[in-house]
Amino acid sequence: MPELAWYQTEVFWTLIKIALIFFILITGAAYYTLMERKWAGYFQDRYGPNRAGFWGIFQPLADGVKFLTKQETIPKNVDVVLFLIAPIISVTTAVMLWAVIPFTPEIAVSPETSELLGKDTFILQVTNVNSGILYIFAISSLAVYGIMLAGWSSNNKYSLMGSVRSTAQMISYELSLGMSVISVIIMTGHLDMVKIIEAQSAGWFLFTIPGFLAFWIFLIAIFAETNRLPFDLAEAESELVVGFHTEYGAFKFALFFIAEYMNMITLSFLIAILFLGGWNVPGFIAPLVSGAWWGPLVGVGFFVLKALFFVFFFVWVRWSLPRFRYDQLMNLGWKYLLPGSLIQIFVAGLYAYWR
Amino acid sequence: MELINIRHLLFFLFSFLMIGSSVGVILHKNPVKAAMFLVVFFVGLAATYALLGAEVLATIQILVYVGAIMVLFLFVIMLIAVRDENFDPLGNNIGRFLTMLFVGLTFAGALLVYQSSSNIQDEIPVTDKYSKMLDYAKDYRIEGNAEVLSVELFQNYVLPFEVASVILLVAVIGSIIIAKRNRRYQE
Repeated sequence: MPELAWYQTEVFWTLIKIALIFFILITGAAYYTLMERKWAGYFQDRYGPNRAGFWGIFQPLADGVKFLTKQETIPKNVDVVLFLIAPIISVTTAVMLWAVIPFTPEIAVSPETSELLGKDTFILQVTNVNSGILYIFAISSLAVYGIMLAGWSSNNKYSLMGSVRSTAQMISYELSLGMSVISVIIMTGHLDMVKIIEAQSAGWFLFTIPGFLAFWIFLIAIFAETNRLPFDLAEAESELVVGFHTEYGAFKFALFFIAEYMNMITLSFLIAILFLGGWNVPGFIAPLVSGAWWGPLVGVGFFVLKALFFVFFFVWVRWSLPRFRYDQLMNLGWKYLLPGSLIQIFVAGLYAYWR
Repeated sequence: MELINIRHLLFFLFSFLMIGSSVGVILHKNPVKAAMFLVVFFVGLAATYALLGAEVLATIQILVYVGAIMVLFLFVIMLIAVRDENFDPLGNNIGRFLTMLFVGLTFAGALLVYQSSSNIQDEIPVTDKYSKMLDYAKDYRIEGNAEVLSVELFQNYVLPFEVASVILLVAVIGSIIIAKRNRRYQE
């Protein structure tokens, strides 16, 4: 094996990928806040933000500057260390999830490019962990700590109640979330996300019987996981001010805020990977693009479109449905979703056996 | 004198992190912070597993211990609102001090016995063994990590696995019954 130049090494390209994915998704999350406000405006027959630049295009920038230049306050009786660590945990776990999401398939590159890359293929994925799905669930289960510590360290009744509520909600719905993914794993036999997508080249899992059931359970559970309406009991304004981040202001609040939007983007990509076939294009387009060098790019385009639909879906649901009551939320989670997901695993087992 | 590479460096880093955080678990007076030290310890343990090439074990370690068990621990601590003053300083309680001394000496003795017995068997000190394992993990990365684990668990050792899960089920049902009985007395 010949000696690699510095720009051909794995480490260098991993750093490039990290920078690229981080930049794209941070910008995406920032503009998601703008899109949410614009879409909310249209749902309610008003304009939404339209002052900063054309169509409010610089609004996220203005928000960022506002958050950064606000006075940093730390209330008197908080537990300072945990108070400061909590938003960092929230954002870090949200960012770490992106490490294993494959945004493109393995693209075979031309000889000139492979000279530059030091490899024959290129994949926009920071690292390929064998057990990508497990990694996602492991890291997203850490996100609870951000909320929990924020609520506890604030030394405030509303914060504590909000964080207890949202922790209980997240660990309840995490069960159904994990269970619904098991049927996908049963059907593919892999924990690797690239292989899960490749297994769907013949047909998306949404259109199989167990996949269809799992899709709905997954969809309901991710709303609870991200603490979004109709399950945003954690920040029920009429009862709890804003829940666990009542005492947070300025950039510390911005970190919680951006982490929520990052999680929504990640989960949208995840649902596109697990149930909608990732970068597999619909059947009638597939013959047109197969073989062409830009074929994978069309696939990536479809992948992003699928994810964007769910990004929109989050907002759509938020501004259409009223909030659940807390006992209704727990009943739904434990009495309907959990047994439903158990049945769905059974169905997936039968399906995999008889197919 | 062997060369210290980045794996060894990371291993020592995580070892010190784990030792420091486990000391923190015992010595910190605030129960929430003690629990957080335990979380740090588990994360360090998972990182060590990952260094040894056991990715799946590392993720499961995080998923089960950090993501589920410690969350419930913290949840309960937060709900019953234990504060610092409920705990005596360590030196006040002579019985607890003696227990700690006893456990510590037993552990040190066990380590010494293990060290000497392993010396007889293969002439390699325990510390060198670890660095050999680290080097081994670098070259030998198991491809189907999860597959190997699941075949062992669900085919070769399926009976112990099922027995363990039945024991857990018994514990769950038992705790529910105990909790329910207490509630009936109160009403």
